[in-house]
Amino acid sequence: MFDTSFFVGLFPIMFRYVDVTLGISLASLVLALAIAFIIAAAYYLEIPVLKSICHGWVSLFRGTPLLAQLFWICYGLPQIIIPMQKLSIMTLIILGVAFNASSYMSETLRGALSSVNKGQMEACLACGMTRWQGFCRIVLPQAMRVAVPGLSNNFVDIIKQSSLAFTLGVTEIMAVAKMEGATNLKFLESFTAVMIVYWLIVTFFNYVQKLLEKVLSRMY
Amino acid sequence: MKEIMLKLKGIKKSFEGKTVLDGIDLEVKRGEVVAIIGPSGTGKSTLLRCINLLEIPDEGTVTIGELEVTAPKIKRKEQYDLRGQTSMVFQQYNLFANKTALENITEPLTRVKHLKKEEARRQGREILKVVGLTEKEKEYPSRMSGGQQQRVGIGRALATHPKVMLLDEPTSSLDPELVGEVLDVVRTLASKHITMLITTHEMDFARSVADRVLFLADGRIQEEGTPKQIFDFPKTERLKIFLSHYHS
Repeated sequence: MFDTSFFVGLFPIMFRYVDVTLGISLASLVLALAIAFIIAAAYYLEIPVLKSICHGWVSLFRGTPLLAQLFWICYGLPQIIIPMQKLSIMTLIILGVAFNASSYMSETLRGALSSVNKGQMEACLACGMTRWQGFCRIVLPQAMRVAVPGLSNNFVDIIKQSSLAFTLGVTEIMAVAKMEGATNLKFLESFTAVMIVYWLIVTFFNYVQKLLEKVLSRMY
Repeated sequence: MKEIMLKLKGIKKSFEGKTVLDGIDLEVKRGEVVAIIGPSGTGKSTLLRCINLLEIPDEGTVTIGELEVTAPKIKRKEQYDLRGQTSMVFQQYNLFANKTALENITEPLTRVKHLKKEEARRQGREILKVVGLTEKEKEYPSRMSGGQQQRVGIGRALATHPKVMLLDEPTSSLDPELVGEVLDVVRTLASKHITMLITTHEMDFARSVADRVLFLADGRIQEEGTPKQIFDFPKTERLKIFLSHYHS
């Protein structure tokens, strides 16, 4: 029934492609965080035009499925935005996953920022600091401690969503599982194996999150 | 004739149609300590917050030193410049939670006054000595008592050498046994002729520390004078009733 030796043999093959999954995930994380910070700052500091743009951005990427967004970015947009044709499919997927995640991460950050006592910013302003200084040096550092669990959840979502890359022809662990399963007609073994690999990756990052939280709470 | 440090002219402020300040005129001289008393919700805090523009007045002119701004259209740059000339002590302390006692004091020095880090730390330690917290230098606010936090708050406000210090009910959230240590620090500042505006419910303190007392009610200064005039010879009925609550 269950081909154990085939099952065990899948892991070395999959681990060869873990770097693709992690590559997409980590690159998306960095880009998504950068965008999320801009969005959160635009909201918190109420920067006029930027705030409206960010509102549209978040609404678009939270209001549509990631799969549709990926096809839109990889196949749709390059038809009118010519420079996008030069980008590899991998890069486009990273953009898509990051744009999507940025909308969720910005909401996480926004919640964390609003949990910081308003008096903190007032104290900054009252002693002559600018809103930007107050945001960067006092409010954001305090918000980060609150945001870490939420952002970690967002990151775990990114890891899992990177599996959609296989629908666009990128070979990562999900694609390997599908191919191995199909060529050997052993779907149970293949998809069980891929579930376990994802689960191991996510468990590892949950552990990193715990460490990060501990370090942050030790500070003050 | 001493130099005028702070001048308010026709300050008005309302929130959602409710008038809180209804035309405040005030002049404060260098080194003067002015206590503002009055019933709760009468706009004492709003008045202080209109001076450093944490609230933008609906009308009126604020002048601090050479700098004059006219509400309601005040440019961001003018707001920052004006706030740089003042400092505030908050009822809820509002110490920077992610900074140590010393860093709370040096933060405005390095960011606003652009002092070098070492010089800021040297001055910060001097200030901690003044407020009697030298040994708490590395402590975070969450690990200090309310009284200690407020003393750091006063230190932070003092360190930038403001033209005017605004103290918004500095002892109102403190446990009674901690009020004394904070008032002592404020008294020390008063004796050094630091220009201060203090809103307070501590009448004995206002009497002993202030050069002048304002009685604020219904958005206006109803009566003002020396502590003796205000507390011993109140003229208006409003003030007499208000003071009677404190003598029982």
